Amino acid sequence: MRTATATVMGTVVSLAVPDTVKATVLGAAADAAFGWLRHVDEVFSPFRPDSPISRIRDGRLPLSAVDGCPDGPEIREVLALCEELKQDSDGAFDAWAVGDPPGFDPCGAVKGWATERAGELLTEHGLTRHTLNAGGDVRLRVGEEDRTPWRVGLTDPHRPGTVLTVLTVRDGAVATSGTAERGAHVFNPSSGRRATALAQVTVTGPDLARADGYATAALALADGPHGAAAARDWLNDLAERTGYQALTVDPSGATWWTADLAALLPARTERG
Amino acid sequence: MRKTTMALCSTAAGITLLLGVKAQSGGSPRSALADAPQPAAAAPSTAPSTAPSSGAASGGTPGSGKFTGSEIDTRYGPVQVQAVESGGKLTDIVVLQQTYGGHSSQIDSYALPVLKSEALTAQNANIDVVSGATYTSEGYAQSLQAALDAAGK
Repeated sequence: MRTATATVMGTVVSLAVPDTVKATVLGAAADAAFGWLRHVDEVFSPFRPDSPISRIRDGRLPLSAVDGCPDGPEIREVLALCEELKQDSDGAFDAWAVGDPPGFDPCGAVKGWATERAGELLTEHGLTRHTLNAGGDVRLRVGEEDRTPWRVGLTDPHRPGTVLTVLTVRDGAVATSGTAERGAHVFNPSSGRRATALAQVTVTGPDLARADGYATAALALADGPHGAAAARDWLNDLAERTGYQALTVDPSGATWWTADLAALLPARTERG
Repeated sequence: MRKTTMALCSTAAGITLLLGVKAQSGGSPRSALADAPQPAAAAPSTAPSTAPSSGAASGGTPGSGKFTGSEIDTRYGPVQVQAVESGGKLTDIVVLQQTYGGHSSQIDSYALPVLKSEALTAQNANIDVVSGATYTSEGYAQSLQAALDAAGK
């Protein structure tokens, strides 16, 4: 495979395409996708004091004035996604209650959303078959000519350097949220505490923005009063409502997954 | 073929660890693949063996096929696994038998995925891309994805 990587959004984004893709085509597509992600980083970073998101957080940019911003349409799109995820998760995902003291931080939605759009740019630039990995959140396409599915390894949070299992995916997204790599970085909005009741949640479905948001929401739900069981109930319900499938890993190492994920798992894997 | 030997050895090590945990209070841990044929002896066979008590290999090309370990008894019941190899790479571990019911199934639901992760590293799982908890730009160098990116260049 041919690969290209870029450091952006505090992580490394990796792009892979078949060897048959010309280097010039890969280069042009990668420039477009990585350039878009750098733009998003500037607009949405909570770490840049003058980013629009920092100004929304501290009140310098009222929501009523967002439409007048140069990046207004994109900010509106992310705000709408945050609202959708909050509704979908019964408040477990709340971009307006992140951190202590709670404040506005749409990071949990932005990376998946931006990477989903970056994947569309790759397609427009001729990379119909590709994998795009933004720090562990992956968007995949197989294109028309070679429909061989991609093999997506899911990291084992308790054994760095090994994978827990492999999902076979043609077109879609695989997003994983966990506590292993960055420490406990997901906040539960109702308790204000860092989420720790599940070690890792993987969600797969058509769209990376939603898969990423759902994985983050499940991790936060697990830290609520009803623990990991509430997260699993919600993921089961989510699978019925949306078709997005999920796999969770407990702090003990025990795994659990939604029934229809079995179609993507290696044959004869027994359900936990 | 040497790769195969190493893969099966590491698989055996993983199962030994698993059974070691399960047999804490009695019996000595055994490996379900310890009696599996060495790859050199695992000549491709047209008739896959289903005999539960002996190792067997099936498949068409050298470096590909299924290697079935012996069935062994644990205090929770019989366990048997199969290593699936393709193009000289270990691509899957299939659990052919596991124990069910009560305490046993609860333990297995924890133990079997651990068994899999013992065997499936980036080198032998034949994976294209890795999904995991977000790594930082500093942590990327130690990530599985970095290894895959380096291999693709």
